[in-house]
Amino acid sequence: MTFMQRSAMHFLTIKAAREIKQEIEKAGLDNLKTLADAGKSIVGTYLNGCNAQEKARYKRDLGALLQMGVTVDMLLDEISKLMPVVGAIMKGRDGYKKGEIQNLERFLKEG
Amino acid sequence: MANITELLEALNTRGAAVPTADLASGLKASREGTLKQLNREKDKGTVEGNSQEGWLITDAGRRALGKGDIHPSMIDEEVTMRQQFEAIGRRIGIKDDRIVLATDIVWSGDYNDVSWVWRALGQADIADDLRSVWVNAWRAKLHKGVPPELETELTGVSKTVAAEEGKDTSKGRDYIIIDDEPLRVGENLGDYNLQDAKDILTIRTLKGRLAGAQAGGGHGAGSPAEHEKVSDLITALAPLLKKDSDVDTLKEILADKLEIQRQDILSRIPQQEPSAQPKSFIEQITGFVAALGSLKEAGPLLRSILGVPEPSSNPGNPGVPVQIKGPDGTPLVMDLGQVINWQKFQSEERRADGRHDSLVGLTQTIRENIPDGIQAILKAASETKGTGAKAPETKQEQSHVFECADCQTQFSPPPGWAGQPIKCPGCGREYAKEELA
Repeated sequence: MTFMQRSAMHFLTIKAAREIKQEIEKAGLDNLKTLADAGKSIVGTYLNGCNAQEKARYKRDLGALLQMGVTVDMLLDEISKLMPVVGAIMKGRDGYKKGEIQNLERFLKEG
Repeated sequence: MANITELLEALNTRGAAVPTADLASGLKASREGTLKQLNREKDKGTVEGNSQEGWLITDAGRRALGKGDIHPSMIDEEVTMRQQFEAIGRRIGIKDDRIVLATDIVWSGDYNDVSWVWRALGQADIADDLRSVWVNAWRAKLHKGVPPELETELTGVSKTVAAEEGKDTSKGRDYIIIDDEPLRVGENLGDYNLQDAKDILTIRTLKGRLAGAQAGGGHGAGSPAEHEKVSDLITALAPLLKKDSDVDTLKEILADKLEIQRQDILSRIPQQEPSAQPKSFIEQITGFVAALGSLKEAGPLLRSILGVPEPSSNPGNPGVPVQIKGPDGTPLVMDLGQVINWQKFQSEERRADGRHDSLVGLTQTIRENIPDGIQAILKAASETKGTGAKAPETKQEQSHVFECADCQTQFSPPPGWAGQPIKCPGCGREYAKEELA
């Protein structure tokens, strides 16, 4: 991977993390923490609230990110850097985190 | 006019003689009418007295009033035809005895026949001037017209006399002109006779038409065909000058004719346009472009009228001058090359503006993304240096999960795996790097 490709990958990661941060702020951190404490999937809850067009857009953007080499872990790391509170919530919840990643992968594969 | 009963009651309530005026005012009637009624009642014996001494009711009058059998007749009310005829005579001023005589003669025949009335009054030796007035008043009362045989006598003007006097009346200055109409203001109280007034109005009309023709036709040289020519108007004025008119009117007609000739001569002299401010180059170009735009909107018909050639699909030969006649008829010469250059300049300006807008938008986007870009570049640089930067690849490698072909146990390579052989944790089978790829 060239330097420019790496730079582009990190750039996209940062931009995607910023968008996700905005969505998290809209939803409210307390609500997300409540969901995480209850063991309910945040990704699944969020995607259930999206219409078909939004889902198609997210699927397209996530696919492009994966093609550029951006993984879900990289995105989560970046979100944790942007929002340390989120990182604290995810800390010690490896199983929950893994489940969320699987939900995303399933979302990308479906349809 | 009060009736007889009211008159007698008014007298009965008074103890003393009552003057005619007081009685009339009490009855709200005219003094003359009341006096007539009193005279008639005096003849009947119901009242006594006169205008000087006043009036009193008699015993007979009181008895008649007490019986209540006082019924006013047409004579009492003075509404009979004879009374009306006599009243006209009195109003004219004819003496009473002559009125009675004339009325008797008239009433010896058909008083509804105006001709007979005329003759009867003549027999009564009524003067002609009073007679015509009396007959005319009586004719009006009967609602009858002037008999043809009495037209001369009753109107005072016979047809032949009127025809003869037509010239005389036309010579009197009886008319003035108001709002282009001759108006008679009285004998010799006006400015013109009727014929002169008509002639002057005719001249004014001709002048107005001439002025309208000049105003609508520009300077006369290129005036439309529908406007009358000046020579035609002067020819139309000529008969007016031949008429017998007084000196003042003739002067006015001549002045009008000279004014028309002066306007004619002036219209034939080519007049210079007022010197306009020299237009700048930009103003000229703007005018050309505006003219070109209007020509495009006008379409081929107006272009053909103005003498502009159809736009050619071949844009070559841009320097050919084209002559255009503007709406005011002034020929314009413009160079199409300048117009094309101006349009080129405009399109280049538009393109430059669009490019500038795009650059501004791009700059704004870059400015917003510069921090993220720098951060991304720093990350890429740190990975290249190897300062904990292989994490993504390491993680990617760690995320590889292999499945044993024998026992279907899933296993992952150890951290820091660089292609060494890996043993399956289930059955112990060792897999080389080539088998794991």
